[in-house]
Amino acid sequence: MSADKEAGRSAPAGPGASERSVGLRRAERWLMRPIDPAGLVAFRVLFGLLLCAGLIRFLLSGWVGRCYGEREFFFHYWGFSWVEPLPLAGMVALHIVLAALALMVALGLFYRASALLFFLGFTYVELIDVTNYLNHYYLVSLLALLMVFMPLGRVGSLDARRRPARRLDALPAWTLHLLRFQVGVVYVFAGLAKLGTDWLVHAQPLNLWLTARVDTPVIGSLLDEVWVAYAASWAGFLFDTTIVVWLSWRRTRPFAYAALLGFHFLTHVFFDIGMFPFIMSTAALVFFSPSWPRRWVALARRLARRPASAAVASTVAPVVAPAMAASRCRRAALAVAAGYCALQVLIPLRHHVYRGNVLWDEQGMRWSWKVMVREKHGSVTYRVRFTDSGKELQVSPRRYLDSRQEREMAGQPDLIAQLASRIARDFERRGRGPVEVRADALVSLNGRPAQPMIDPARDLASVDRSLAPADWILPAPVEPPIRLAPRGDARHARRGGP
Amino acid sequence: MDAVRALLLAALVPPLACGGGGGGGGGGEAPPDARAPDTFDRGAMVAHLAEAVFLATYESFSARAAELVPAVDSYCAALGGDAEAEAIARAAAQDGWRAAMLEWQAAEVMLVGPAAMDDRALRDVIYSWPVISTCAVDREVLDHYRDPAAYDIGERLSNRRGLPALERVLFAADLEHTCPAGGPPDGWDELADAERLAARCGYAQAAAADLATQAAAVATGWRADGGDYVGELARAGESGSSLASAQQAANLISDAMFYLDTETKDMKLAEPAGIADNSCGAVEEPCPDELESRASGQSKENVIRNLEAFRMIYLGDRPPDSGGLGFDDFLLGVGASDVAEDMGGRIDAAIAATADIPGTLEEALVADREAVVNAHAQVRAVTDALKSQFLTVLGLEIPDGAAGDND
Repeated sequence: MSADKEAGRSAPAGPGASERSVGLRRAERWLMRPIDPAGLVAFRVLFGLLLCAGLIRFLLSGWVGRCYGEREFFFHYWGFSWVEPLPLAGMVALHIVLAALALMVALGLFYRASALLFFLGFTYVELIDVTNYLNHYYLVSLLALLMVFMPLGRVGSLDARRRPARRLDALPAWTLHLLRFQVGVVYVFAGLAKLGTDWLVHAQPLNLWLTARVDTPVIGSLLDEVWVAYAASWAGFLFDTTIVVWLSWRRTRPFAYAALLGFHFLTHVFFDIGMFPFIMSTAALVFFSPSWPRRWVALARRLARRPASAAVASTVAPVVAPAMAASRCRRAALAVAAGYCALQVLIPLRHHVYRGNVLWDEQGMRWSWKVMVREKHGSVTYRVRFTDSGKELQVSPRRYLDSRQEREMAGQPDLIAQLASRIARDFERRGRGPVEVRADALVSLNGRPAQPMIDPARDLASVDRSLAPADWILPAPVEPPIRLAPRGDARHARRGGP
Repeated sequence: MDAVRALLLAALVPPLACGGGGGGGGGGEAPPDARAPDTFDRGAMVAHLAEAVFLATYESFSARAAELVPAVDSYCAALGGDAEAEAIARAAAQDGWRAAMLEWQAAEVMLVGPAAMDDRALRDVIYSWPVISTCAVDREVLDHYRDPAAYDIGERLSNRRGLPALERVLFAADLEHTCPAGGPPDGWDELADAERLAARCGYAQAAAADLATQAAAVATGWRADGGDYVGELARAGESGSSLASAQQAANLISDAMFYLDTETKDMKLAEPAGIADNSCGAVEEPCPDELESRASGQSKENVIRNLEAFRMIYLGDRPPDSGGLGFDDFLLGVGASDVAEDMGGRIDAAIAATADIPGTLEEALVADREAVVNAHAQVRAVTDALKSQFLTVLGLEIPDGAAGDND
């Protein structure tokens, strides 16, 4: 049965419904049309190799032991408090397995199972401790999840060589569009996150970060100039919010990608952002024509003065449409994909429901592509009050956390409350309860004077953990952030001259 | 050159806009002329602190440790003679210990370089606190007394050597051992009082000589004609230096300043005062067992010295008002004069509050605990500022906080 016939059978009566039905059919045809798989194969290979390298780097850096073996306490995500780490040897083994799975994804070996296991394993690792959260880890999980449902292993893969009968000569266009959407969401929301007064009006936190990098060769002396911070802030905002447009337009695409490469290369050089620049540089390749790798192969062969092989020659021939699944399943899958896309748009916007300054209260901060938009340092001291005697003890978070955990927790209210609950349980377990736990959390946002972030009168051990707005978080500071500017010979200025 | 830099910057502006995590990023060698005249010279600050504050402190400690050796020798020589002369000699040895201890308390806030290397190995043989055991020292005293020629203090664990061991043998209030029942040092109970005194003094001589050797080793590690750690810091960012930039060197120094938070505030004030959990299980009540220098009654002076050393680093001044470059200048240099003024005020207030504690810290815990609580609050005000706006404004990270990726 053809898709059209099926669509006609299920179409409701009325001209409006009919138009919608036609529109849906067109959209479906557009999404299901066959495309050259070369670009997506290249994406699969590069993405898999990159993740493999990233995991090996993580292992070699000793971060597995540090993040999972040496910690006594782990911050859980809401709804995932049951996730606990394996023993250290297990975590090391898991990272080795994940690296192998990433390599198998790259090779297209047992592709779908490899992608699924990688997604599950990687996501499990990331769910263990909130303080390990990084936007690009989240992106890796999302891309891995999407790849599970894409037939990327049926072409240009060891699977295709093992089982030629299942080999595809083309892939449906929705695979490419879904990846483009996912990557586009990252850039656009990273740009929209900068749409605030701290970033655009006060050039913070870039003014703080650039001022700390005056040791940079050649240009270092300019980095503490205020105008540089402003220029960088606005350029960053415009870059993030518009790069998807420039990448989507064929005429500007090469220049946009060159700018993107420069952007990510230098962020790699300047800042400790790990695999992020590499992942984004690779992921952005999906904006190119689906056949882009073939042009490079052909060019390479021309340069090597070698005749084009049959495989390369076939690149210019029209691709053959693969046999697609039954229409009903297909529509269901497209509906799920549409729901996924809607979620990807709604999740980063959810902070508007909370109304407060998301940079301060962090409600709606994670999974929203708010990449590097705030600089926060804080000092947290817990006050444990014994309810029977009314006496109070101060407890340092250091007693439960390592340095990185403490640094991350100090700026994130939900984590401060989570540790408060743990402290209460700890005292009660030692037979010293019941207790109430309050926190003195002084936080500096983008260089402002530190001010209390948590209501010091609230017993955090008794607050509900939920996604509802937290009334125990104090309002964000209203004064503008600090502005740093070079002051010449400050010593002499302070002391009244030499 | 400026035009070239501006062009380069124009090309780099979009990439920079992605931002980054805490300080210490970047690296490579900065050409000497790369810094504009109005940019604060972090390298100059680090070099000044290394030479005029850190090296000076370690050399001063080495001198005090060296002076302690003859003082202890004199005390031991006076044993068994005129009681008054013996008391005077003992007091002189105790004063020598106090002077060395005070200088080391300054060095504690400067644990960078030789004393901090190898997981603080050299620091621990000088001052293993809080890992100390008076019982273990009592056993060493006896071991040394039995066969001084065969005894090698260099082979002993760090918690039996250094300043804590010397405090034990020079300031002990009586001649009893401190080991639990059933585990006394074999033979101690059989010794006469004079023998016990002689045994302790003999061990004090060995410990003082060892302390002087270790102190000299640390100072040598800093000196240009030794390990040249002063040069290592001063050359940060240049080829051959283990430090990628002057900013990273500044971060290393600020890491050391966190001693005020972890040790001074929490262990030296909060635990003895029952402000924080302690070994006594006391809440809002004294726990004298947690005092740092209980036998010598110098715990309060130790805290004051920690704060003074913190101020030395902050102001770059050793001696006071000598006008060196410090973190206050760094703050002023980046245009954060309010932060500089606020931090300076907090440090002064903390020193004043600690100095206002009446008598010794142990006495105050009983007679005027509120004074100790107030001093703790003032020190906490310093560390709160240190951990928040100070780090943010200067682009620094908490100790070990930068390890790993950001985005």
